Amino acid sequence: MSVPIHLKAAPRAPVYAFVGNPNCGKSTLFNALTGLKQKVGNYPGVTVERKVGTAYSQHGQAMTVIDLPGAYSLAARSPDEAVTRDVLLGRRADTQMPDRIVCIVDATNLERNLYLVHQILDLGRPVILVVNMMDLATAAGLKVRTARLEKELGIPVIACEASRGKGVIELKLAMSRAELSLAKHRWDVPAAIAPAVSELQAALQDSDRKPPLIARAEALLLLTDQDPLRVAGSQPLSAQTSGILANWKKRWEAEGTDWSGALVAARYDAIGRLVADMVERVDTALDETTSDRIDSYVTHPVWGWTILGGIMALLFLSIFTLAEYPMNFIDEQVAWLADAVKNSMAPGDLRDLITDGAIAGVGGVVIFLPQILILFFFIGLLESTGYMARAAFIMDRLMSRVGLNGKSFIPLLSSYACAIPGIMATRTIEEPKDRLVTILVAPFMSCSARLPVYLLMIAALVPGGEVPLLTKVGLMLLMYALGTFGAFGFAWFFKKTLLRGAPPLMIMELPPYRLPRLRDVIYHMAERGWLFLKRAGTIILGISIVLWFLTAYPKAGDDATPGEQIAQSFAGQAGHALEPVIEPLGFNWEIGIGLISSFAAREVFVSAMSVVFNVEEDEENTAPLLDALHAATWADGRPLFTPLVCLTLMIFYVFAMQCVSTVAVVKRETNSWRWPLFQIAYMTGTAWIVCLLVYQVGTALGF
Amino acid sequence: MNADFQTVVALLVVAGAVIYLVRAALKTRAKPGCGSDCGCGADDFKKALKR
Repeated sequence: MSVPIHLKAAPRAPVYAFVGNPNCGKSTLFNALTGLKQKVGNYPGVTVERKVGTAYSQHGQAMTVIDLPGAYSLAARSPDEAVTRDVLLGRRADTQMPDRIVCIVDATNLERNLYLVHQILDLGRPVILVVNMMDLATAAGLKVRTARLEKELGIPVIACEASRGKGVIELKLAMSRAELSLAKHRWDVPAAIAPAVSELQAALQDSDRKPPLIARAEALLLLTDQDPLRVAGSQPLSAQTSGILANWKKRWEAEGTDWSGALVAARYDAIGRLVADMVERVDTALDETTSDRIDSYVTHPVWGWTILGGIMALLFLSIFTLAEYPMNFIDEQVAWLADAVKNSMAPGDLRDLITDGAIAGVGGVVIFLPQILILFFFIGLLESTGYMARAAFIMDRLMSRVGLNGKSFIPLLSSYACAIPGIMATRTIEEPKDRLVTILVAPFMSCSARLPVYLLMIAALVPGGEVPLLTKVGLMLLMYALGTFGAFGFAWFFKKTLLRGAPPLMIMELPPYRLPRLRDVIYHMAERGWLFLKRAGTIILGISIVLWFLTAYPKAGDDATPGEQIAQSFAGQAGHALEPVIEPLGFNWEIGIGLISSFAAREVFVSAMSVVFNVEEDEENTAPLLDALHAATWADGRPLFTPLVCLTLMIFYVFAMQCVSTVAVVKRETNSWRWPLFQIAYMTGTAWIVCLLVYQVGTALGF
Repeated sequence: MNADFQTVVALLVVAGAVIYLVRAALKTRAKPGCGSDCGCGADDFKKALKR
């Protein structure tokens, strides 16, 4: 009996997994195929979670593509590698096991990259092999025979230069094929191990309901690695399989034979034989590449630090010089808008809410957009050239002295943009104690939300005068250095006390230098700019409106001056309640309002100051925030924002934990409230103590 | 627009802002994360999952 066409089930979109070693170009290919804009960078560990997108075949059929975190082997050593292993082995209930696998390998490191491919071929799934970075292999004097590799393995092999878009069409055509041949994959498991493999395979098929080939691959993996690392969402092994595994391990230990090592060695032998015929060094004179020559300076113990310092100084110099004109322009437009509203509306609460709340609060933050854009343009350039991995290399010398894992550098580096992706990036760290230490210190790195606070305080340093450019740059460098060395200091302290552990060892691959992809850099910069504006137009607007209400109510009466009104308002009462705690730091209750409200997000401090100090302005004109800060005084007439107070406030923002989103992410990553609460206590406590010392010593010295 | 009417509208706007912020905070608690505005690509991920 035939089934009517409309009742036939629609074919399901095939699921492809993109797999490969870290920094081999998976995310670049994923973005090229799906049209998504997942973050890419020329350093390992950019992707720490699986990402899902949709690509379309040459016939217009949808294909689901999963971009998995980079892994050197299926024997997972860190949580991000465990995600890759679990998806490929079908151990995750939240992700479908891929129908087909695209293995991406780095042509300049083929032998090492093929270890993972070799394990994946064991799975018995259709595989497409993408040999990426062919241009770099050619530049390094290597000739990779992809056609011969295709013939030998029996699967499609595609030569590719993902960063230039070469090979993407060929990959799409291969992915569009209705049928993909299985690999002619022969690998002789040592005879002494074969019974263990068979017994485990049978148990995995019976008790864990795995298909035969997946069961065999998992048996090999379990015997090689004992599979110690499990992450949330990973299905546990059945009791029968665990029992068999333990028995074999015990038996091998009693025999004194390292069969796990023998399995790994047998696999490497098979790969070595394969690669010997596939890769030819055509020009042996090219032993020292351009990257090597640059690295001899950039990673030099003295020159490396000098270059890093020079790059940071150049970055801040650009922030201050290039951003000046667009900032003045935005400032003028904000003031014009506020004056226009004041002139066109009758006096009343709604007018005050719009001008003193919404426009002052949002405008005070939006003015820093040009500087945010410049910061991310430079960070994008450094990431895409490969310099960041060198910065990690020279920082590792210092980091290993304080007991930090070298792999902590990338999470700490990401935290300069925002602590949240930085904390998520700690999933690449294998050792749990090292990972926790990195999570605890990552928020010390000066994130972009602190930038508006630093810039406002630097501008307010000299009342009525222009702060010299070099002073501005020096102060910015000082703030970033304070955060960085604060993180290192506390990491050292934690490794010596709470979270003792063995000295870490880092093996990090330095990627070759590449010309930056300006399109990606500008896209990333624009994306960050848009997110900054979006945040200003949503969360910061909301907080500014609420803050206006808290400064405008309860009403002090018609005869009250603006100063008296805010002093007895809800916000004023909260600020006064906090004042005894912060007065020894040189802060009054008005600054206290800013400190309380910026727990939601640090840049809200600028909005809060705009709202708090703008209410004291006259009815018709909007004074720039800086003038308002310079005019602010204590009750006895002393100026409030002295250079020492500005510096102390900046230091407070370096050390204090003031970001509710970061607290939530730390809770998720540590699966406990203990560590985020500890983090709030020790960071904010440190901020208070350091600020007390700076302010009291500064005052005693006459500043 | 007289002053009393302005006060009523302003208080309504404040109430709307409070509701928005509370909703945003609760959303963050239910699914802790960056709220997709830190540049980590969470937005793209969510869109892809919806598809």
